[in-house]
Amino acid sequence: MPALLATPSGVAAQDSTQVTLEVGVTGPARDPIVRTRNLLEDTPWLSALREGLPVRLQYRLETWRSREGWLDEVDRTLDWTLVVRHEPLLDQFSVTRLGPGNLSTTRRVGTAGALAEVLGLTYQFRIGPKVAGRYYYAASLDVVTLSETDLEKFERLLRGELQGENSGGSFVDRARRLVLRLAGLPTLQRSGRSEAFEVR
Amino acid sequence: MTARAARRVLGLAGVLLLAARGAAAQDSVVVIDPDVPGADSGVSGLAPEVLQELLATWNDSATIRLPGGLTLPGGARLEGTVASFRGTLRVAGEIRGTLTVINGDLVLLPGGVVRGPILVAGGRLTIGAGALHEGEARVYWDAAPVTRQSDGTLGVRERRRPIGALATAERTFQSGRIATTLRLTTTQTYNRIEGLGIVFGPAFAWRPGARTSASLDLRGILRTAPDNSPFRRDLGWLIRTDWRFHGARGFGFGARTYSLISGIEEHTLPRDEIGWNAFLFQRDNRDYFASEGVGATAYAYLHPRLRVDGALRYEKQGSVRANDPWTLFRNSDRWRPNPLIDDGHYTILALAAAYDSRNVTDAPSSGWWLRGSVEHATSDDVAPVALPAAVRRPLPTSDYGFNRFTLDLRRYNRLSPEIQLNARVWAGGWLSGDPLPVQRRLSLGGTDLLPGYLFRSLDCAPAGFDDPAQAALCDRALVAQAEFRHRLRLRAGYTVRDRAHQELDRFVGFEDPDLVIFGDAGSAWLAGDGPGRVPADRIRALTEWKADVGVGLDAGGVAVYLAKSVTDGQPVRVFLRLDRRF
Repeated sequence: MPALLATPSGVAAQDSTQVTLEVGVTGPARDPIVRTRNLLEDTPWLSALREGLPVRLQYRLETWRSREGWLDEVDRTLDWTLVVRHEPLLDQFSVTRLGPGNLSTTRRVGTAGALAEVLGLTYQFRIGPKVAGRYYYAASLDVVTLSETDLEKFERLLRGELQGENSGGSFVDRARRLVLRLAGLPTLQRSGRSEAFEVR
Repeated sequence: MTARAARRVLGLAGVLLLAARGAAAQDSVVVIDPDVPGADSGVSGLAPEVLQELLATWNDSATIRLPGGLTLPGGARLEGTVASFRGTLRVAGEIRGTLTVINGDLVLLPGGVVRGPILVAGGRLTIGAGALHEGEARVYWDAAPVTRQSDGTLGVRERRRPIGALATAERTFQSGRIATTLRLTTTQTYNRIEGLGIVFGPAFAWRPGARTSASLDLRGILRTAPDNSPFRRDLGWLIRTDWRFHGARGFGFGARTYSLISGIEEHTLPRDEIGWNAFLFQRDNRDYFASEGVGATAYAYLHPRLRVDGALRYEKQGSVRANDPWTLFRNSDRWRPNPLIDDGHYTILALAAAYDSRNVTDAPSSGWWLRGSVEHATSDDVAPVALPAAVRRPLPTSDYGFNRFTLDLRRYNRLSPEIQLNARVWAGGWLSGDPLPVQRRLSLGGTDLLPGYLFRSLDCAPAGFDDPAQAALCDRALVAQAEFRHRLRLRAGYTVRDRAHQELDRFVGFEDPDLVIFGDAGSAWLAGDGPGRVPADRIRALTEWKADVGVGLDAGGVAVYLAKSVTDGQPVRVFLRLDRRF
């Protein structure tokens, strides 16, 4: 598929309030598509990355079944994580995606601009509901700055060494996170929702 | 139309124009089928032919090599093969010929012209309003793995170790199928017995196959709080081996020997919250005992969500005394004494089962989590602590044995993307046999299970029994919790602004916290026949339960709550939590 070869210039410096999470529906199978806009495009995370702190993007996508006159219910949930790191000697960025499931990919980009393009990719998941009903998709994104220990745990998870273990924090992990938070390092939560659709 | 909007339109036109020429580039849509395992796993990167093209272009002596971060000013003109390495190349002048940018961005400024093919690898191409490009454009965001050599040419860079592996307190070396890890870390908590424990030692992992693994973990534990008594060693240990088969959801067994400081009532607050409260405010809301022994464990997943565990241990359990580790505040205060336990050598057989259908383990929003355990323990040399007769009859010093259970049921419900209704029931205590030892008794009250009441408000201590350690003395406890969570569209805090560099602005505060409305009710009691006791086949009458209600804001990682008892005239209590309540 031909993709964006050029982007309009002049994306002004901005803060995290301009980050949006878009959720839509595509194709006859009614697959969900998820896209994040303006993330790491001159946002505070870029400076956090350059200061040596990895950034984690935690996504969750839920398929909701709408039930008239009764509470909606979750039909399916997908989780995936992106961890972005800066390699100062090369001035490059690596993006590792873990999930959904056990899928994992790593790619390395040469500039912050290319990183913004990679993080702005649209994800399409082949999970369109098959059973008749009225549905919608809801997605959430949590962005946090990682401590070195968090990063190490993520890498061990990638190597399959932490399967099944609870990811809850320890005393020292908690201290690191609090210090990061008190230092004003950015965190962000965004959510989005698609329009409702019918499956017949 | 504003100038910025006009630029966007022109830029979009440029996109369409370039796309119409059929130029190759990156896919902008990633299609994932999560039901096809490992379909897109791996490491992506530049195609080898593109990498060779980059090297050939840069290393050609006829190529005009530009340093990164250069701006070609308006009026300037270059002809031939032009290449740039790293940094951003900005073109306001004119380039006639092939333009290659390696691991950098290319920006065509207003008035800038490139007549010829463009290849950008490891960066992106931005064509501003009023700029012109004639020719094919190829853009690859993936970085080129190249490095500049002493003669100015580029060569393929050897793969480096991940940055996360540098300067960590844990290093892993791979030798064949065996991974060796050297570790220097902590016991993950802080308490009045050990202070902060330092954990060190190697671990070995062997993976003969994709779904089989074995490990040998050798840990020493250095306790930093001084203790001159004979009751606690300064150096503890945990040596264990575990074997796993059929992957993470298969079965396995293990063996261990240990000398640890174990907690009493470990179903209450998480270890890290206990540690923070102790380290900051000299409030250690857990009691401890020393356990040294050997054990064997086994587990199996009967279903991907259902796990059963069995363990057999023989251990010496002994009392330890509270020491005086340093705290940030109230350092001059005295720690609450650690209660004496019923010392002895115990043989313990434990069975447990867990059903877990939660969508995630960290902050779940839907699913069940049910855990239950039964423990049978015996001892022939127990040295009982003297407790009031109202609490328990004297323990036999031989042929002592008891059975104890715990049950933890949790249900997480998503009512809408923003609303949750969660519930939990916890029950535990004496099941049969002789009376429970002190280290297996229970209480209620405190920030975890019944926050409207003070720590151990319900400890079953008889009137007039003065115990500065406030030991938990109840035989049984039962508590029910419910909470309603609503995600608020609220941004509370402030932005630290940098006028010169807006990208350095930082927001300090909370975004989209959960409003939590909760209620708890429960009771803890002495079981058996006699005054003040509840018959063994009954639970305490609901009219004698304690209950509270409360409200709070949970910003994820830190939450503040207000709780008020509704069955007593207790004052409103304010408390902080670092984890979810359950």
